[in-house]
Amino acid sequence: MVIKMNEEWISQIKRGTLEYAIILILSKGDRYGYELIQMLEEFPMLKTKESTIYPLLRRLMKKGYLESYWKNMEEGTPPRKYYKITENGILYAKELDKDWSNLINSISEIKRG
Amino acid sequence: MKIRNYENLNKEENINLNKELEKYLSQVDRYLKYMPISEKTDILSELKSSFYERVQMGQSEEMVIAEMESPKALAMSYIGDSIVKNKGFSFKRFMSMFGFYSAASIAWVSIIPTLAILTVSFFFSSGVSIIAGIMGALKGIIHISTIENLKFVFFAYELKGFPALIAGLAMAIVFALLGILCWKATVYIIHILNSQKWKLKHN
Repeated sequence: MVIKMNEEWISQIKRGTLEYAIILILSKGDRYGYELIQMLEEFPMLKTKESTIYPLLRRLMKKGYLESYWKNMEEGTPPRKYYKITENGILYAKELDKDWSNLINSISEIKRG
Repeated sequence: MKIRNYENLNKEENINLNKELEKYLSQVDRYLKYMPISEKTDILSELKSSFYERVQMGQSEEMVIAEMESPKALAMSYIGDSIVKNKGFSFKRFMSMFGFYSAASIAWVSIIPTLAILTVSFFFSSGVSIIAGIMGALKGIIHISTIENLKFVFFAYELKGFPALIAGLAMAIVFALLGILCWKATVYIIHILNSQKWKLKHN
């Protein structure tokens, strides 16, 4: 019963945090789709698959926080789609940073209280 | 150069994944058919690149497919977004909504609310019939001013006392049965819409 509740909570947290994690990663440099999946693989709370992350990346692009470009690879390898953060994306990242600190501080305060 | 589907895309690039993966991707392609072509090819190319990487990392084709959701679920996670995010009306986007709800035609989508409303109406009528029957029955027995002024009229005959109760119950049962019928029909049609057999037809 306890384990089940955790999974549900975790999946809700995941949804919100994944966007933040992706913006943070991309604010440090361009990445392609599968690369993001690999990087997040090492974090159990952020592990994700194509079906979650690719639509999310499209959403962020449509909102103007990310851009994309295709890079042709060598013979026999399919082209790769790279993602790059935009000016607006960097501003968004700063907002998310504030929101995140806010959240952490609130929880800490509640714990102390 | 019009890229109409995933197979043509492959001919362009001359790169093919393993047969099973190609098959998986063309199934995803089918569920995306109402999406704008450029968006669809973009999605499929990215997935293809991702699958290629997975195979390079050592995953077998079966492992990759096992780790992915069903082609339909994968397509739906993209479509769900495109309905919400795209502004403006276009026939393709409109149709993709029906793809999302697996509706066979517009007629099916309007039948469900109609049946649902009928269901509620019948059950309501059933309840009202019981009340009318009871009040009609009481009219002969108890004299309350409110009830005195009401009449239980059944096919142009006013009923009082016991016959009123019987008629009320009979009508209540009939309405309840009709309500149950409509409810079952609603559930059945929803079930049909969700089943894999119904697909949108091109016009």
